[in-house]
Amino acid sequence: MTYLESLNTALHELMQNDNVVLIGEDLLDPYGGAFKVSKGLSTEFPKQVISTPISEQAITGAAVGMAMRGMKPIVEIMFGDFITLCADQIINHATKYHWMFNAQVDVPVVIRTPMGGGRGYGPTHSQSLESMFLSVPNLTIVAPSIFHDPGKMLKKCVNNANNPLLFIESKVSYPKNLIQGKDLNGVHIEYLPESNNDSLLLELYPEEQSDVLIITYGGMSEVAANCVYESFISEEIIVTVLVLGSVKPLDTQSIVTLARKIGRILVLEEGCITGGWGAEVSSIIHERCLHSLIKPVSRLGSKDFPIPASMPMELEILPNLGCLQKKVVELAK
Amino acid sequence: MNYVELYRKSYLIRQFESRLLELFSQGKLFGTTHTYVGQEAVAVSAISQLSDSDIVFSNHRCHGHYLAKEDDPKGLLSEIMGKEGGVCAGRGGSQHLCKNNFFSNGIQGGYLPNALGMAFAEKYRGTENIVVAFIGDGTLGEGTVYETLNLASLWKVPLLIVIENNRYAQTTPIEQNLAGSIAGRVKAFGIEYGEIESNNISELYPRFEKIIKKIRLIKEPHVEVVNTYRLNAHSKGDDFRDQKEIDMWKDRDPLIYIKELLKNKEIQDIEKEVNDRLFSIETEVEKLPFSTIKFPKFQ
Repeated sequence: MTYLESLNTALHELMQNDNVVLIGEDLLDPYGGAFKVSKGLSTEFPKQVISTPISEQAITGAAVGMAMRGMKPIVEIMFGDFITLCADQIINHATKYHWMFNAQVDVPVVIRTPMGGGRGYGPTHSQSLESMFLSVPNLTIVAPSIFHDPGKMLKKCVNNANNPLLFIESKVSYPKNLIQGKDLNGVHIEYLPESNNDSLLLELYPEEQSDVLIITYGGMSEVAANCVYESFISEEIIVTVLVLGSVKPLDTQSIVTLARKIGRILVLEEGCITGGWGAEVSSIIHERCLHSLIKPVSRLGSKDFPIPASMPMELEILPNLGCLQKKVVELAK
Repeated sequence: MNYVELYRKSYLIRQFESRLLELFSQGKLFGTTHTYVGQEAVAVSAISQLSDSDIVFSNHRCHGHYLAKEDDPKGLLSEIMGKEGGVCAGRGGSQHLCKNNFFSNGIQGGYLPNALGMAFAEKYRGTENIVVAFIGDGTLGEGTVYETLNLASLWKVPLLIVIENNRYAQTTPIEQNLAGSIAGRVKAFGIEYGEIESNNISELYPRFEKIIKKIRLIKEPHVEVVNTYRLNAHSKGDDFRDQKEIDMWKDRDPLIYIKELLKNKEIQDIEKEVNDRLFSIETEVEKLPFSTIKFPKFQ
């Protein structure tokens, strides 16, 4: 099953509850959404799929109003870059109401949107902007990878959400097969049982002490998994990857435990490096694990630069396997 | 129409706002406040038509709407003074109120799509409820207003948007802010539209009665513009409007019109009752402790 099929199946299951509606642009069949995640839904659930004009602020705001009246709206924002148009609704409305009205209302709205580059869509259709929302109180940010079960995560988010939630999908992962429960080039996947946050570990040799820990999420997880294999083959460096399903709140317990155990840490994200998610994770590790660190925490993200449309130039801006391995080698020295 | 009751509501709003300004000057309030003095006829006429299960969404100038809907001066005063028993436990303050089906937020126009979504939800679930959203002329500068009008017309939801045109967006007169006309803007979306210049409840009440009955029946949006005037400054102080203009509108004070329909004795009784009520609330609230913040346990 692909990442996209998993999400599409989950949406079909969710809509068995007629309180769940999907609202967004160009959702109707036969088109079924720009990335086809909503394919088939409008045929099976015509009343629950609301295809709208190009009005991201109003559709997010309308979903907020629906949520305040007991519905379970799911908003589809066609490209993650357009989340800036929803920012006022997210920051000054959706995430405020529950707290500022002293818990008299809940706002269970889930906003789904694909982020990430690698498809040549250029500066305004390729970004990973989720880190801009890290400092918004009362907002949860979830991002499945191909090692997760994205559909199961989406169902959990929609069914359990009391507060606004950003569900970040990985654009490049849509057509990819899920690696769930399988091995990738011998890389073992371990789902952390104690974690409610869908954290998981990617390891080649789970019994052995790792040289480097990579912490990442979403679309970058696959790059990190490839790095586990390549680093051992070419440099005999043992790398463990902690893949987080929750971007916010962070699974601090897993991060701290592993950071103390391994001592050499690289934080990997696709968003721009300055003021990013990696800065937050790195800061927590320095605060909590300083004496266990063999080297300062290293960060890798996109260069602070708009993402070019041309593929060779895009590769220079986004983090890739080559630069990740270089960083890993430096850390392991 | 029960003019005694309508005057009681109007006078409660007027006196509440006047007391607030006094308390503000004594340094007893936090933040800022935007008083509704001069526009009382709009809130009272529109909101008196609603049932408890109808929804009202208001803006930064929300005290009048709140009092007309919830008749809760104690909860409101406690909220604005940050005292225990505040309707949102002091978290929201003057501009961010919530009780039962009343809501307000301080971002211009931002709550309009929220009101739209609520109206959608009521129609989707087949209730008889309608949503009334109040905005001002200044809010017409926000793009989200037009996204909302477009969707309201396409979705055919039971939403009444009342535009209280008090002619000023904070300090800027409408002539400097508004190109074309409000009517032209609304009609472009194919939405039912009405406009009236009045501070007179005996005109506004029957007008809103008809509008709201119709929305409830056909479940489609309507925009109603009431050309009115705020007699006080935008918030507490600085007022640079022409004094002659203010004086002209003082002669059209909504309280003058409704008092003409009442006996002197009725007026005196209501005013005494409201003043006594507000005095005892004020005394009580001043003695209450400040509400405190209870943080959730951090990870």
